[in-house]
Amino acid sequence: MNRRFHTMSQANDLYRMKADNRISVHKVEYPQLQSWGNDFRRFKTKLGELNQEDSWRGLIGSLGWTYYCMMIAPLPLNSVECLSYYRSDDMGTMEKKCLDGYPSYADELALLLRNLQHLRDSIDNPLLGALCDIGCQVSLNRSNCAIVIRESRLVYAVEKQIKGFLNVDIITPKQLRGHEIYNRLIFFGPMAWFFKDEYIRSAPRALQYDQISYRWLISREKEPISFVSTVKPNYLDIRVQASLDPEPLIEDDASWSLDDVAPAQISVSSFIDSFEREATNSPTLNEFCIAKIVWLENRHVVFINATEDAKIRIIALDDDDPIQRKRVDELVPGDFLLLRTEGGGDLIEPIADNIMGERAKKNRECQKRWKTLLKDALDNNHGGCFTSLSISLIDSGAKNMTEARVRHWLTPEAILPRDRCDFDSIMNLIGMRDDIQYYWECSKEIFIAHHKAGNYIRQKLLKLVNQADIREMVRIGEMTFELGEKGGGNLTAYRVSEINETPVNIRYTKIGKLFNTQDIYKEVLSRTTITSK
Amino acid sequence: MSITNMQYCERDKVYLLPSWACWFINVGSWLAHQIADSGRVVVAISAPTRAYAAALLTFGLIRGRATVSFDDTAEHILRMRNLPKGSPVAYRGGKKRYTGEYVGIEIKNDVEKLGIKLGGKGNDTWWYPINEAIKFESIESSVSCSGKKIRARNTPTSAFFESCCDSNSSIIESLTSRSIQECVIVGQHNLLHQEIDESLFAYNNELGKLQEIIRIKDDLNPGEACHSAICSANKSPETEEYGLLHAVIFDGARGYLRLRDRWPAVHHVVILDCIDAEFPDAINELNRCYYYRIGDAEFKDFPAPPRELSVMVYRREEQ
Repeated sequence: MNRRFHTMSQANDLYRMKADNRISVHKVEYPQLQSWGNDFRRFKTKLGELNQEDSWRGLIGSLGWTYYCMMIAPLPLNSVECLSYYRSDDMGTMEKKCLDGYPSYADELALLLRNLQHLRDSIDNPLLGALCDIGCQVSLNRSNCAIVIRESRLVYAVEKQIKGFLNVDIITPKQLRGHEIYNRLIFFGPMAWFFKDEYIRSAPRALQYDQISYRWLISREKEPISFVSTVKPNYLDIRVQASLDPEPLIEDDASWSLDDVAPAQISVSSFIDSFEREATNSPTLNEFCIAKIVWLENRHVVFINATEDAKIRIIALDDDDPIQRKRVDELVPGDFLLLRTEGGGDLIEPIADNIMGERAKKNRECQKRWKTLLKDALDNNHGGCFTSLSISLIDSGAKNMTEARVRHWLTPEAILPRDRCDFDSIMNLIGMRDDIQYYWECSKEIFIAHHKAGNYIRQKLLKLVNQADIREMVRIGEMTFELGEKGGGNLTAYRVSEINETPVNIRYTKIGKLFNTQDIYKEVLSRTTITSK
Repeated sequence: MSITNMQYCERDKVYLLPSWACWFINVGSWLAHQIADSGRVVVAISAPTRAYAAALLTFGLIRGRATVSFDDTAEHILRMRNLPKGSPVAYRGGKKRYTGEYVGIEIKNDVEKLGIKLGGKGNDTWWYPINEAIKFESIESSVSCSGKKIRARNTPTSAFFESCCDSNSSIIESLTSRSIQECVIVGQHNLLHQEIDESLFAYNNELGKLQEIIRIKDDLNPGEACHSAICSANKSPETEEYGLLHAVIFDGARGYLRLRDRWPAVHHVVILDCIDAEFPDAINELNRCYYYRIGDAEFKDFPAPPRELSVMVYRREEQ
């Protein structure tokens, strides 16, 4: 798949855009929204450190995200999409939970919620008005123009909003890494928020950038990522670099960073902590594995297996071979993870079982048995110490049995060691010397079936990916591929937004399962006990 | 060679090469003449797109290397010092050329000597004084080590090729008669292939492809002289496979971050495109390395970049 090949002319256009890119700023007034924003900020300041507590964080996060959605898209203030983080029931529960412990904040919170209610009843669409002002319909329609929306989940709503009025593409920032170039791009929200993606500033895909944003949303551009020392450019070619004119700050605290309006909705630390606590105390340790938390597009979260050598299936848009298994430690934001969204878990296992037929059950039982016995040996003879178990295995002939490898072989998804002597040492240690050959053959059969299943899925996916509208996947940040397998064969590609590099212990059943940040918040809130101040 | 005469061809029309493209060729030519004895050069480039950057820079480099005198003993000794042991080498004794396996440089009777296991001499190691290093040269590993002559044959030439060589017979001879792998491009094979072996360029109105000069190993017929190779950024290459290089060109952040330590003794060019997810990590790493640079001497003859590019140049010792 050639997704990134440019002709010389296309490359030349990109250089020209870098050289001549200009930004025009169009400011919009809407006093009620500004006033609510200021009240909201004052309330957050008053909360101080409480703001970081999970009980308040969910409420403040929901309010912040509602406010943020009102400011980044030309949608009526009462649109469902703007208010998707404002669920009345949830708000009520959150409010009650917060105020149970902190009644002194009741009046201000009530006022804040009442004023937000007025805003969410409004059908006004101030940003759309500004869009009409910056150019007549006809000129925008004809000028190879596109509207850039920060949140991919708002794309369809904006498309619907301008349908019949403007005939321009609605795109997301991630699309501005590709081939397509425009004469004019209209961004909703401060440019500084878009410059979080460095390429939007450093590799512009249009000669003209228009920023439509509320007047009070003043945001400082972050310093571009660059070399510490650079060679002076050709002196004949020095012109003023296009950049956003520095905006004067009215007050010191008047700048709105992206974190001010769109805070991380929930601290997952307590969520993860609770899993870690369970892991430490749990008598069935091998049900847990080391995982990484990965934030996906559209506020989804997934835990992925991060044990040594763990790999995950991705769609690599820029590569010759689009379906790949990538090492988890090499995963980067922007990659498209393929997750099973129907049926849960990994799709490879049921397909492998189909391949093995009647022998599947027996083979799986054998595999489970030697892992359970190894786990028993760990707990009973080595006091749960992986190092001690690893030394014993090496003593009984294993070649590659580090502590990390032992952890790996205890996980349900690890099938069999590559080296026969490693397997033999495990079987010797758990007292199954006589059954080595039989167990080896069972495990090998599983391994071969998994390999075949992997190839089967790959071939099917490859066909589907080649037929799919990948541009849409890049625009929306996700796409579902229906493999048409019995018992749930849908795989969905999700774009990775952020990866938390700190490893956590997580229950196996949670690996690969998709969470919504709102769901995580609810789970944390249900565990939180608020004590009065 | 005057770069201003270089053109590219699209949809049956010929256009002058833009200034940024000329700059990449000039940087390649500049790098071709840099000797690594006082530290290897690192050229880091941040561009609005990586398209054609590595291809044009390699074109300038290979063309430039063909004009470097092969009698430059100091540089040659340095290259032999950095050659991985076991690499295939050729030895020129009188009128004959032999191939064998490079053993390394050792002190023998207080004299620095260079060892080679010659296939045709009973498989023993033969030691030659270091000042005879000029008689040795690194060859591509695919050539049989049977003691036969290694002169490259059947290397086709074209009007474009000869034009790029300014019809200079010694340059043409240098590029067609022997395989000296000067550089490896670490990047995406299919894209580089399209830029190097499919896109049309012109020099003095003679049409051709960059491959005619660059001569990527994998895209050649057996027996043709090769001067460069492509290594996937996702692979773990054996550096010996590529022999003694003058430079490694990292086309993208991933290749640089993964494989920068594989070739510690040769010049590095790192071409970054800010659409790469690993762009910030690569910039940070290059900035970190900058603090370990050797000296602060300016590179006065380094071509001034166009303003669309951000460029950092420094020298580093072997890591």
